[in-house]
Amino acid sequence: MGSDGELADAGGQRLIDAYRMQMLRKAALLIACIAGIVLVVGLLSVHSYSSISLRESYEVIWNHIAGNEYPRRSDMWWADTYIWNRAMPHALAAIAAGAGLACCGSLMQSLMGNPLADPYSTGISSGAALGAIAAIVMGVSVTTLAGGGTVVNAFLGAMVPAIIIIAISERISMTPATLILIGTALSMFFGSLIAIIMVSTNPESLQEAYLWQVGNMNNIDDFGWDCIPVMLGVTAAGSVVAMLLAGKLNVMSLGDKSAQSLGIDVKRFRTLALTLMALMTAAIVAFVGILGFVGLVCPHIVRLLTGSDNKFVIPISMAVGAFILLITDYVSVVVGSLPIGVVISCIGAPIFFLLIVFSRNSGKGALY
Amino acid sequence: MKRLDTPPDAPGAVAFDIRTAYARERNRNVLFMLAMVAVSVVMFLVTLGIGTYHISVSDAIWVFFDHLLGREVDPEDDYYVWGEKIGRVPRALGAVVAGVGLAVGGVIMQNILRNPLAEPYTMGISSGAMFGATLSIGLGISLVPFVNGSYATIANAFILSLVPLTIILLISFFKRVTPTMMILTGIAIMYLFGAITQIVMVTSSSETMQNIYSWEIGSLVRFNWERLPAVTAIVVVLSILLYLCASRLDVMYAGERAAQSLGLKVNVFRLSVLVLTSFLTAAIVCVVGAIGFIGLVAPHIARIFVGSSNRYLMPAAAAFGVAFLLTADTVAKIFTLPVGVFSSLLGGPLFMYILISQRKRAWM
Amino acid sequence: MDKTAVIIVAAVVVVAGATGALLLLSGGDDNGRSASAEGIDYEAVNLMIFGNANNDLTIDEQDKKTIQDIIDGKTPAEGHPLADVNVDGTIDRKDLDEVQRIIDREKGITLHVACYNYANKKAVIDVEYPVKNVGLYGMHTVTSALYTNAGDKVVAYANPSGTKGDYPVMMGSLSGEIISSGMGGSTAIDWKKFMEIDSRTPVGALVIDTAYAGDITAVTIRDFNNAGIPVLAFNGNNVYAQIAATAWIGFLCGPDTERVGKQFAESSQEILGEISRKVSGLKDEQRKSFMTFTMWICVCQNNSPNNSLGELAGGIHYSKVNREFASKYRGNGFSMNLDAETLANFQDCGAYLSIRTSDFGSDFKKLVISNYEFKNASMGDISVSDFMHNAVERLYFINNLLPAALKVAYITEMMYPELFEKGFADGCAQRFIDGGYAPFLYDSNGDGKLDAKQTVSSLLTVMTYGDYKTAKGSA
Repeated sequence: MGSDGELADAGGQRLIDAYRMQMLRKAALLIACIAGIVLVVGLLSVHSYSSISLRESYEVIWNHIAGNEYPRRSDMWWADTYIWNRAMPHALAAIAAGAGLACCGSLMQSLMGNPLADPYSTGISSGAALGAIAAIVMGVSVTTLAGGGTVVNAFLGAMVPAIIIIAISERISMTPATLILIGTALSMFFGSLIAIIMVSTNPESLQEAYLWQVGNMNNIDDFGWDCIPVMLGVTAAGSVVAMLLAGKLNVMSLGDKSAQSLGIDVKRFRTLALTLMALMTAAIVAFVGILGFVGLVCPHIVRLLTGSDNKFVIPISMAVGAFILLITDYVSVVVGSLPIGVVISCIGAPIFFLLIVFSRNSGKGALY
Repeated sequence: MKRLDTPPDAPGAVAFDIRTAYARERNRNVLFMLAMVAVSVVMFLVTLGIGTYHISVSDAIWVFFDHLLGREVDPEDDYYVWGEKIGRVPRALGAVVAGVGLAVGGVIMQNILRNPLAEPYTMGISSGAMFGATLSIGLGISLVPFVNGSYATIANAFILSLVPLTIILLISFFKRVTPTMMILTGIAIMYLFGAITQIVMVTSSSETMQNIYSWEIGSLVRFNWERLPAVTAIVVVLSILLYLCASRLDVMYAGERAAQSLGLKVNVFRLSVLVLTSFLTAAIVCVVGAIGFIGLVAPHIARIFVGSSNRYLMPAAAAFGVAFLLTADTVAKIFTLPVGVFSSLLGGPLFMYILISQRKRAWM
Repeated sequence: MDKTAVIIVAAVVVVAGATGALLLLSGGDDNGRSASAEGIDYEAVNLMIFGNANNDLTIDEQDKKTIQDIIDGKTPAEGHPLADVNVDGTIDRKDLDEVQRIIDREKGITLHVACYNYANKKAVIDVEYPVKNVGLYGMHTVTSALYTNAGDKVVAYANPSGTKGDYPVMMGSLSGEIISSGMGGSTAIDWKKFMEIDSRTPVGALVIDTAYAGDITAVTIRDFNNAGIPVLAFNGNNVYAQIAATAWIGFLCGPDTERVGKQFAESSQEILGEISRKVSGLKDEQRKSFMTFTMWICVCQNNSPNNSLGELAGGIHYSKVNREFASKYRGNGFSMNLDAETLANFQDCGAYLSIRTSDFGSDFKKLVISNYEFKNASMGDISVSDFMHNAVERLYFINNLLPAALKVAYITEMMYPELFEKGFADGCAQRFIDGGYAPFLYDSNGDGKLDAKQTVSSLLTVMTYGDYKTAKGSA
């Protein structure tokens, strides 16, 4: 069977080649993102001083790590202060937030089987906003740590809708679609409480509250490195757990019934995943406010390029999310008067619009 | 012709049950409508007496009737109750008009989008209006020349709230537009407008931003004698038009293929109804802002009592909308907060309750 | 497998959270010692310099004599906390030597300033005399610096209420770059720009209004401490405190500004003293009731600092006359709750004072019409006049850019025409104009020099309903 054997080999070879292409694509995307991140970190540092170049900014970072110092209050001294105390925490926070939100986004979309889900679908965002705004406007907060009040409040506030939803999904069996709807209803309710507070307060508090909601890096500017351990730690831990769950997630995206028949305890898995996502998202949102679109759009972009296997989608969309948010932060810093949340809206909204309008009706790999 | 005293297990019993069941349902419809209208009338009169100015409810009602009948009224009382421009009467009338318009809009939207969560703002109308208001209040830009100040806000809001509709119409020339597609496009446009609105809000001073924000929340306080006639006219005309389409809408709800086989050009019909509803909603939103909850839940509550036939559903939902908005506005006046705050405060829990209790029921 | 995952997550979160909390707690050093700040009355004057032993407006031979008296036991040390010039806890010969150096205005000496620090706590901040390259943050710091003619010593400033671009004439003498980013809250200051400015022209001191103290965060304070930039804060809301702070900022910036600042403070205090003498005899029933508005028609609450103007003018705040008003407007800010009926039950107030900020030399007619015809979207778009209804004739707009003493003078002349002859306030204004303060000068021929003086009418001091009617009539 010589000719048959050759044909079989050719078919097999094509399969192997196609597989290699796929893996290469994934690796390329990942590497591109990481390279991009390093570049933008440098750019962020450059933007601190118009007089220093890209190469010099890397030099400054290297010098700081190595422990070298510059003459006090000179150009380079302030550059070092600025880069190390402000630009670096900024970059790291953007990376942590982007990676964390993208990870939660892909988790949510697979878990709910709904391409329009994002980390805030369970109403976490409005709970966090309520906590933060209560702290900002009324000075009502759980702790008196200097400035930490808003962060802690936001975190606790975020957990309230999360706990409600998780409790409901444990007691009452409902489809994921209904879960999201309940999240929407909770958002509406918390949103009206927020509206009551915002409408009765003076303009400066209102502006501060609004800026928090939109999503900005003020906390990072104010507290510098203090924020980073929590953000990075939670994101790292959460993503490790997410990777461990990736295989089961693939099965969940087939639908509740299929997953159940394949041996997954759907209810418990959902509870676990929701808890994980709630913690991760709450930790991020508490520091940077409600950054939209990263969790919604990054997984879609990655899926378009590399398919829907969660074992790859999760880490790659984390890289993509980190990169996109870092670019957004850079744009926001360069423009100066736009907080990062506004920039990501301006980037994300058109992308979302294009995704919807130009997706194929057949629904394959598209949004509906 | 069966006699009503036939025993239940006799052969004619089935027809007997249907007739009384139908009669019972007719009665229920009528009762619900009457109840809502009664509540509306009562709240209308009560709200005349609620407000910062010291006047009792009964005195305010006297002022209302005295003014109508042309009798003499204390000028201070008249100033605050009837108002030269702003007053309690135009505000209450505005509540009636807005209640009708939003409820009717909600019924229609849920119908043509075949989605129980649709509401008048699903097409991004509120975000367009908000953007228009932001342009006017925040940047002083008026899309209509020679108009400025609050009229610019209204004009901007009206024009821009129709942009999402226009975009969907444009897309419909290239692709077939399904209800899901409409909703998603509405969401996408909402995000787009939201992003630009955010830019303006964030770069304006804190006072301007407060102005814009309080506009958005939705308040009936902006209804005055100058604006009431135009809005009333639009709402009345469009509501009647939409009611005339009611039976055809019922057919559509039975399913698209069924409708087509019954002789209805579904797509064209759907889009033209959408246009009418958008104008209706835009007319209200451009003056009042985005008051939530009514367009979403009025149809549901009415449906519980009245059933899904649009011929009864639309008036019933409208009646509920009016009753609810008058009550909410009265409460809002007591707390001196905008009415939009209360509609969403009630909306969330009520919506959740409906979701949980009705989740196993079919949405008809 | 699932359970372990949950436990891992929880453990990491707890550890990360604890680390974060520890770091947060350990951050933020004190900028300035606070030990010796106790015992100083910060309410009366909240920017003071050690060495001013007799609590007047300057440091001169009289202070030396007072210290000598205290050392000799002729005067008790209480009531003279600033006599401990070197802030070492005792009043002795070393203090005499210190104060002599200050009297000689030696360049390069270190002055110890008693004020608030970045965290709104009393502190003693060390500043090198004279202060070159001042940084300012907040409206009251800007006006204080301008009225002591220190505007050209400013290298950087931020004022959310309005910058030189908004008020080019009044702030014409203000040099320095704007370091505000235009947004509210903590992002108000563009610290990067401030650092760039400092690397070119080392900042001698940053003066901030305590209202904005929260914006100076832990990160920034660490930077300032490392760089050795002193941060002085004072409470600009207290009228007397602000007047004294003006004098002391002038003192810190050198002999020229010291002279101007002292003169400004003395004129202000004299005018306020005269007014106070004349109105102090009035009984409550004789006083005119008043309420204050900001942002055209937002009612200032009972304890708002804006009410101090009316009270210094001898008025009685409406909350003391009308119980319903008092219970409705508790607080120290202002209320944004507006609708057409807000003032329906409060039509009998004696005067409604609306504080507006208008640049000197602007078009009076245009401004008065736009003020009385202002509309606000949340008000249902009725104008100010409709909102005020019958009380509009008692609505007055006061220009917030005037020195506090002038504002009070105009208000009191309006309230008590029987106690102050017509033109009293104008006379005070003329006195200020003649004093040569920079805000009252402007560049008339575009050559960059402030050569012309404002006139009483171009100062846009007070607008009345009568002015509005006149302007409308002739429009």
